[in-house]
Amino acid sequence: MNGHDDGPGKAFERALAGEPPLGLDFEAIEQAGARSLRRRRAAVPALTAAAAVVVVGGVVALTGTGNGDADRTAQVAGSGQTASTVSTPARISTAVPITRTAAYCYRTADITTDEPDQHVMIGLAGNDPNGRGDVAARLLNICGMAWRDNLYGWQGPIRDGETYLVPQLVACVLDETAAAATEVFEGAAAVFPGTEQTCADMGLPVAELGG
Amino acid sequence: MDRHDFTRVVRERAVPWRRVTFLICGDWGRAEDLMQVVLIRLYRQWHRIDENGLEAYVRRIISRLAVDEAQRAARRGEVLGEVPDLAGTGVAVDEAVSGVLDVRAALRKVPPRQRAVLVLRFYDELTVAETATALRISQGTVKSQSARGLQALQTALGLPVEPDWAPPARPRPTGHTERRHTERLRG
Repeated sequence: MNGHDDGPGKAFERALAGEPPLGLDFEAIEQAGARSLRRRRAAVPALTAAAAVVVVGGVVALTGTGNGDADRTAQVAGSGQTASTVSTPARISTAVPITRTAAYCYRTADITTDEPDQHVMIGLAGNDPNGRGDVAARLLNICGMAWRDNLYGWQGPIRDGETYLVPQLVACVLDETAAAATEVFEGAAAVFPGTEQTCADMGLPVAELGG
Repeated sequence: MDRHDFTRVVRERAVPWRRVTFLICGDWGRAEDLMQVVLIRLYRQWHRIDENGLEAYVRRIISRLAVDEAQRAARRGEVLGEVPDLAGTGVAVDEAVSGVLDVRAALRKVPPRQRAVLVLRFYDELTVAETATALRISQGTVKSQSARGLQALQTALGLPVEPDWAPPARPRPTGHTERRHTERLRG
C-alpha cells in the first residue's frame, strides 16, 4: 500500500494536505456583489434609452432630417480628440507596490472619481504566513477575469455566461493623490485598461509586478 | 434565498467549495481568486436560488471557471502551486510531503476536463447525472471521461491500471446530494 491505491477519493484527500487558511473577505465580496447588482439594474433602463436613441437616430437618418445636429456632434467629438493628441507624453517610470494586502481593478484610467464600480478592491492577503505567491501577477489575472466575465458591468449590461474581449491592461502603483481622492491604499497596485503610457499620463509609476 | 443570509451561508460552505476548486485548478491561490468570482456571481443570483439548489448551482460555476482556468494555465505551460504551500516551513521534504506532491503532480497530468469529472465523482461524490449537469455534458461523456481520467491518474501515480480502482457508486435515492448539503447548511 502506498497511500494511493485506496481509490481516487483517498488520492484527492491526500492532495488537500497543507491546506492554507481561508483568506476570503466575505464582507468585501458581498459589497462587490451588491455593487455589481446595482450596476446591472441601472444598465437596463440605460440600455433601453440607448436603443431608443438608435431607433430615433435611424429614423432621422432615413428621413433626411436633423443633419445639422449630427454634424455638430461629430465636430465636437473630433475637436476633443485633436486636443488630447497634442499633449506631450508623460515620462514613464516604475515602482514596486509596497502595499501587498490590497489591490484594485479600475474601470477607466481615472484615479480621481469615486463613481460606483470605478474601482474594485481585491483582497489578496490571505491568512497564510507565506502569502499567496506572486500577488501582483495574480492581480492582473483577477482583473482580466473581471473584464472577461464583465463582473462589474464594465463591458455593458451584465449577462451571466457571456465572455468578452479583455482590453490591454497595465498595472500602476497608486500614489498619495489617488489615495487622498478616493480613499484607496497608497502604494497599492492597481490595474487599468491601457498601456504603460496610461500610468505615466496619470502621474503614476508602472508597477514592477515581479517585486 | 434571503440576501441577509448570504455571508453566513457562504462562510459556512467556502472551505469545501474552495477544496473542489483547488482540486480542479491545482493551485490554492487561484482557487481562492476563483472563489471570489464565484461568490460575486452567486450573490447576484442569490434571490433566485432555492436552498436545495445552492450546491448544484455553485458546483456548476466552480466547475466551469476552474476548468477554464486550468486549461489556460496548461496552455501557458505554468507550474502551479507548490511553492507557497511549502516555503518557509524550515523542514526537510519528508515522505509525507513528497507523497502530497506526487499526488498533486499526478493530478496535473490528468487533462482539466477529466480531472473535473474525477473530482466531482470521487471527491464530491456526485452521481453521474449530477456531474453531467454540473459540467453541462452528457452522462455518456461523464462515464467515458471518468474512465480515461482514472486511467491517466493511475498511470501518473505509478499504479497498475485497474478498471475497478474506483469504488462502485453507492446506491442512493434521487436527491441525496441536495439533502446532504441541506443538512450541512443547517449545520
